Amino acid sequence: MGEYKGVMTFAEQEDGKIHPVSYELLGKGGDIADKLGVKLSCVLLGFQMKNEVNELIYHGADKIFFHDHPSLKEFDTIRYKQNIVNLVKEENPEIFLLGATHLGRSLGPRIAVALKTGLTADCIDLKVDEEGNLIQIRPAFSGNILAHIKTKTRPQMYTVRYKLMEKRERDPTRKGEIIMKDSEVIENSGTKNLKKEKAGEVNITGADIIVSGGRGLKKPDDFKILRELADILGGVVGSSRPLVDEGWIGREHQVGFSGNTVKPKLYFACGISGAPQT
Amino acid sequence: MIHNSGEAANERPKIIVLLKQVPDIEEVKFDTEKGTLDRSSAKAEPNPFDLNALEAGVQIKEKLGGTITVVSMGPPQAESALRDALARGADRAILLTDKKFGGADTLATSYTLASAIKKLGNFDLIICGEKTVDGDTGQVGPEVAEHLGIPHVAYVSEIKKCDKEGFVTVSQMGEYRYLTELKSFGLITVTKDINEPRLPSLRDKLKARKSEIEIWSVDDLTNGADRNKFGIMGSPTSVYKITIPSVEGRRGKIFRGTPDEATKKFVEELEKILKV
Repeated sequence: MGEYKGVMTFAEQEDGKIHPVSYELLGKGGDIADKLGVKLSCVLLGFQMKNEVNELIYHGADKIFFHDHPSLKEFDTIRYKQNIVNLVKEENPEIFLLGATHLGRSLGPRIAVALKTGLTADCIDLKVDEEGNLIQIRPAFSGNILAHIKTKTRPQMYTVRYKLMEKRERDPTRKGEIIMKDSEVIENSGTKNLKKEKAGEVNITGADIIVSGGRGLKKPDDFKILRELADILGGVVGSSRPLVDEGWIGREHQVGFSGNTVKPKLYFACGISGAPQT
Repeated sequence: MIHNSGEAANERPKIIVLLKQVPDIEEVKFDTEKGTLDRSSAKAEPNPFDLNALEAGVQIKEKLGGTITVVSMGPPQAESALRDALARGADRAILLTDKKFGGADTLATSYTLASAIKKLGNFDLIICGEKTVDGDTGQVGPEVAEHLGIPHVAYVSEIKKCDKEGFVTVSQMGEYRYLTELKSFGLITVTKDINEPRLPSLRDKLKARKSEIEIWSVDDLTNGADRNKFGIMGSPTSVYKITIPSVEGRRGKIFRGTPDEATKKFVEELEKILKV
């Protein structure tokens, strides 16, 4: 497998802004590249985002492959997949990382299948073993176990959980290479984005502070007390399943196995009996 | 509805729902010493997200007519999950079961499911849950779409429109909600928000008990599929170790002093946690 070399990460963008997970990937990808003694490259797809490209270099990328094309301005699974697959086949990185965001988890699997390689979802840690293979550690069974996984095909592909890896200190004196790529233009990708809007809803999975209520609450109105605390702290309100099932609060607030996996720094459990739901 | 076979429009949609049987995650026990899980400790049930997928299919069928075929890969016992699916409104159920399918990662699993879908032939829409509660990868749906070379929309929380022209879906991606048109046939993965799965009636349950579950093995798929791509053979990733995350023992802490002093100490402690 000598022909595969280097670490490549996917830089996710929305409205021309780089998603923070992309910098975290560069942090982790950089650690692995240093350990293996190889370069760290990064692929970005978008349209007219000159300044943002440099940010990727300031955060650790040695080389940026930039697909700058109007058809890639907005995320489109098929268009993004095809251009990334073309690039990976040209560059042959040994390791390819994406963020385990909605976008990364929708796009990554298609890339992996097109490249006939393995993809490990939602890694919380990556280590290099003695032979230079990557060991991927990810939770399964709703976090009850940690699976240690190896990949025998190349590139070794992973999605990496957001807000878990350290990004590197921004260094505006850092130099890197920006390579403008010709983009394959796909007219009809089978899907069409008609509209997009800020969800403006509770984002419980990304919240640092959650004030959660359970069966100990007496009436739906009791959530007001929790909401008040959440508002003061800049957090969001969570709920255990029974209360969601009762219709006291929306499903988007549900914390737990069959709801939303959360990873707050601070979790207030109010009237919750203590099942291991976080 | 534009059929993937290019057949005339106006035809009633053929829907395929992918479903997995999983252990009841809230009951399954883990051996923290050995690092293994005891599957017999919990009863098996259909993956909750897949029930949302099935309900979404049933609602489309109620509106436009058509048929629902449920496809599952798993051990012979997974038949009970398929019976449940029949009771909930599916018309046909196929279980892909064979020792050679065992040990599959998401690449081999999606290849197997895609091979079965190819064998089934025409379809308009494939619906699956956004993820399973045991594997928890969320990869199989999009991977099936890639194997079949069809578009997909992931994390669909609402089907805004479904008619002859195709589907319009609402899906949440990060901080945004997208309204996406699936112009012809394709695959969607659905979230819990899309619907509230109905419980099957006793009558439907009894009927489903007598219904036939079709069993397909490797040999049923090899016409067109590569048997080296099934199961452990076709899986580039493998779990070589399982560990149980160490749970930090709960430690209580009492903040003493006057209410003001104690509150101040408590808030300082919280601030420390948030800074990490």
